[in-house]
Amino acid sequence: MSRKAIKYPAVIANLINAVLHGPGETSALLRQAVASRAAPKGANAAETGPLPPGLAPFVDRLAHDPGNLGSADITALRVAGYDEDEIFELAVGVALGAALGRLELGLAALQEAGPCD
Amino acid sequence: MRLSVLEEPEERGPQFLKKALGFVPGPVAVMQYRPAFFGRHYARALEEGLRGGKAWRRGELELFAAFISSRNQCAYGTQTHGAVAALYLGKAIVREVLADYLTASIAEPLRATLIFLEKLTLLPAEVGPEDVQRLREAGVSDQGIREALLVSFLTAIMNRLSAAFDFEPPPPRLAKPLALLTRYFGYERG
Repeated sequence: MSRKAIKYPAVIANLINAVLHGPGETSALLRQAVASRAAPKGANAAETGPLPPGLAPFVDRLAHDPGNLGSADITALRVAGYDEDEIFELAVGVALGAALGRLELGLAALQEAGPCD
Repeated sequence: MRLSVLEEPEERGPQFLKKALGFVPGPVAVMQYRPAFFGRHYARALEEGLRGGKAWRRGELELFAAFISSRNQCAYGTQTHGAVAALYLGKAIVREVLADYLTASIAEPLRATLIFLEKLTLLPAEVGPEDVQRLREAGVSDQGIREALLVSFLTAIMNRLSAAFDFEPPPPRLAKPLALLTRYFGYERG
């Protein structure tokens, strides 16, 4: 079933715009890529290219298994050359992508259920 | 916390809290660090999501946040949102829900929404229109579903930032005072 485009409330649209399209130490394209990879299966995440080396394990763990993320995951990012501002932005991008995908799946279910009797 | 920029805040709000309480709540540090990038927008959404509900009362919205946090194994969110929920609903209900929401003495619309939120948190790809039908049959309005989805969205974000940056839960002596501050001043004043 094709889904209508989801219109987010203004507070969410503003948050998405700032984190995924606004200025930062990392490129907006990289933030969009980590957010897209963090989205759960079934969400309408945009197609993006492969992530730079060393980033995927952090993104996958934070997105899908946050309870088991540890200091070593952050250390690995530092070793890969990311500074604190970049790590901050990437973590926010991943968290937003994981959350946005869930919101989208929930809103799609509501839409597909049809109007309430 | 794992980033020194969050551990040693330069902003006035977190510095005040550090001096006054000896503790800066992780979400406050994150929201006040470069607020134009994330925190200012997130705080506005949080205020609307947890305090601006029409279908659910504030205590119920806080309970959703505590419950989702528990499913994400986020001790910080479970404790802090649970403490705020307890101010509105009582400690016993919060404890019951977090221990076993299927047998807790709560209304069915609330229980049905917790079942939905657990699925959305842990098995998001399996969520579908049949889940919405179950919620409606349990008496949850579409407005109530949308409000629960917003809490899920907000909590999913901060739970992950807690995991990434290793938020330390408040010391027991500060749990209730911090919950009272949240109750009276909300989320935008940080």
